[in-house]
Amino acid sequence: MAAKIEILGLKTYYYAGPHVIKAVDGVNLAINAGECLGIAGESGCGKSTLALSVLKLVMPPGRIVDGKILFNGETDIVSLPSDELRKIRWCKIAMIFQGALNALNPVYTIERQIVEAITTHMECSKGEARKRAAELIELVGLSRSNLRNYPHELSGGMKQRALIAMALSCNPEVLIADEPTTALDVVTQAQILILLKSLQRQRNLTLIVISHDLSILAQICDTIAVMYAGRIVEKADIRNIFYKPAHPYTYALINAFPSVKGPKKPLIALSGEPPNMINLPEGCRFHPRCPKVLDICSKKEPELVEVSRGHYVACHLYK
Amino acid sequence: MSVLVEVVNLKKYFPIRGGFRLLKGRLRYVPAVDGVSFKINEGERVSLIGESGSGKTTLGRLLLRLIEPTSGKIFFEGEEITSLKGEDLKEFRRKTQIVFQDPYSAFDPRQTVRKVLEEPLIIHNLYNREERLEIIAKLLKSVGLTPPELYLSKYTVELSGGQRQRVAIARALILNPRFLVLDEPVSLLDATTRVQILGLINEIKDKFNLTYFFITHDIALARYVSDRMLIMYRGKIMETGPTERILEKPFHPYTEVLMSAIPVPDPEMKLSLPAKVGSADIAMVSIQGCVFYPRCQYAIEQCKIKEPPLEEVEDGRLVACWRIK
Repeated sequence: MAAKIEILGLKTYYYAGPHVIKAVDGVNLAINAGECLGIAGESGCGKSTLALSVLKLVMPPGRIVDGKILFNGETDIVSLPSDELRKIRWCKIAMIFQGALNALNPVYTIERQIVEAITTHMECSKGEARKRAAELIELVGLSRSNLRNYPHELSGGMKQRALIAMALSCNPEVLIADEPTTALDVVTQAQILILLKSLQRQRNLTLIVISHDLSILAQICDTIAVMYAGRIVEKADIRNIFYKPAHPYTYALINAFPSVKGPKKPLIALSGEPPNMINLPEGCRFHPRCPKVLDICSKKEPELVEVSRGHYVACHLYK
Repeated sequence: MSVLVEVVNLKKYFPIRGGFRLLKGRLRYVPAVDGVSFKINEGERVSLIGESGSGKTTLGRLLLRLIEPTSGKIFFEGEEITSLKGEDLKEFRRKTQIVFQDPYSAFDPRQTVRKVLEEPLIIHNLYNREERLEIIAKLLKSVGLTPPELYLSKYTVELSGGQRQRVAIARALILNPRFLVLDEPVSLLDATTRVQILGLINEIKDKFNLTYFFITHDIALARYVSDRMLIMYRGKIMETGPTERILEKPFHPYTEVLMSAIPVPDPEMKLSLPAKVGSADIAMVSIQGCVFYPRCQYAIEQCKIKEPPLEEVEDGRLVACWRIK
């Protein structure tokens, strides 16, 4: 069976005057139906741009310059005209954007916003839409009275739930969540994660979660792809990523999240800064910071190779 | 070990003005800090854990007299700070410093790094021009910004988040303070940068003879920068004690909830929350008994009626909970 979403050779660049920022620079990724894929990386690695590209939502001065994004093995999102694209957006693939707590319209009630999402994308009467909105609001753990609230009357956690309800309003097959728990308290964060996971199971959703926080991804993902400077440096199922990380960057990222339970492990700092996307280093983009750097690393960019079943790494340490 | 900072029954209430005024049972004020007492000894690294809305930032600012308390006392080096004036106040400000959460809004964008660091020295009339430059250069090296010459003439907007936070730390250290409040200093930084800055914070503590008050919502981080923890909820201290002992065996139900809610980078350890946890944004109704009562899975009748006092239950460990007794 074809993958739900297959990204082939995707390149999304931003053009800022004389500079070109290669935010996504040759990404290949396959996500299967019902899978929960996590995309991990720090700021500037291209993960948000990757997510926006899937729904062709990259705004100028950015644009997709190369590659294909296949949905259900047949439709190439990149080459779809806008009226066709509309049928996919929200109805097939929906998204919860980063900084979503400010994404709600402050002058409309929650009900109105969910109803608007439904009637814009689906053939649906207003009455039907309101009924659906009520079902959705309860599905995400809010009460029907919250439908009458304005966004400012809700807490961060409640707004996030409302946004999840909106994203699910047209029964999409795929949900992309970009940093869904940033700015939320630890307890609320846990509740949102548990909610996302249960929704995924209930509705057999394909879930793509983007986060810089590996601990969050450990909670709900089946597979994780680690991004650095516009490329995927490692991809594996969740156990392999955490217990047998191959790429030195993955290893550093895992160790950047101290554990609160169990023995106190020393935190090992990675030297240097995240890369300058305008002036990328020669060879492997990670080599200036790599504790295991070899001579070849500064000359040649490593290819993504399969080191064990389903476990891919782009690193000269592996052949 | 002598006591450097002492807080006695500290309260800060913010009045609610205008807009949605008072319905029956609702408060006329927000009790951000509601009767907090504790001590910080010289040389200690103390962390304050709380979610947003717990009052932790307000408490941090009260300690430095950046805001005035509603009632209660704050002592620094044995002296009450609320009545300090003039030269004494200036001296207090020199000895106590703060590093804020957001490195992107911590500086005047029109000041170079040199100006940022020189200004405090000028305000306090310290050293001449050459001496100042020497001190600044040395400090930039201490915070990992080498070579200093490279950074002096840069504007902070030209620096990354991690670099800015290093400048913020340098700025806090330039007057040789004794007490440093760090309010979520790494929460807005990338994961790998965070580790670097935490390492720096630990490194400079002994080098500069500092006492720390580290405010954060992240217990896991607190583990790496503190020896003693205070757990705060809705303006009150729920539990305090040595960091490792609390993490190993939390006493207060709220601490237990916090610990169970923290995701760990291990797919085998999945989150599970007790059912009654609900959310912190319960309507601001006045609570007679324990502030955690509505969300507590162990609550008994007494918890609803009477507020439990913060008391010692074990050597060095204090808890505010009826159940513990």
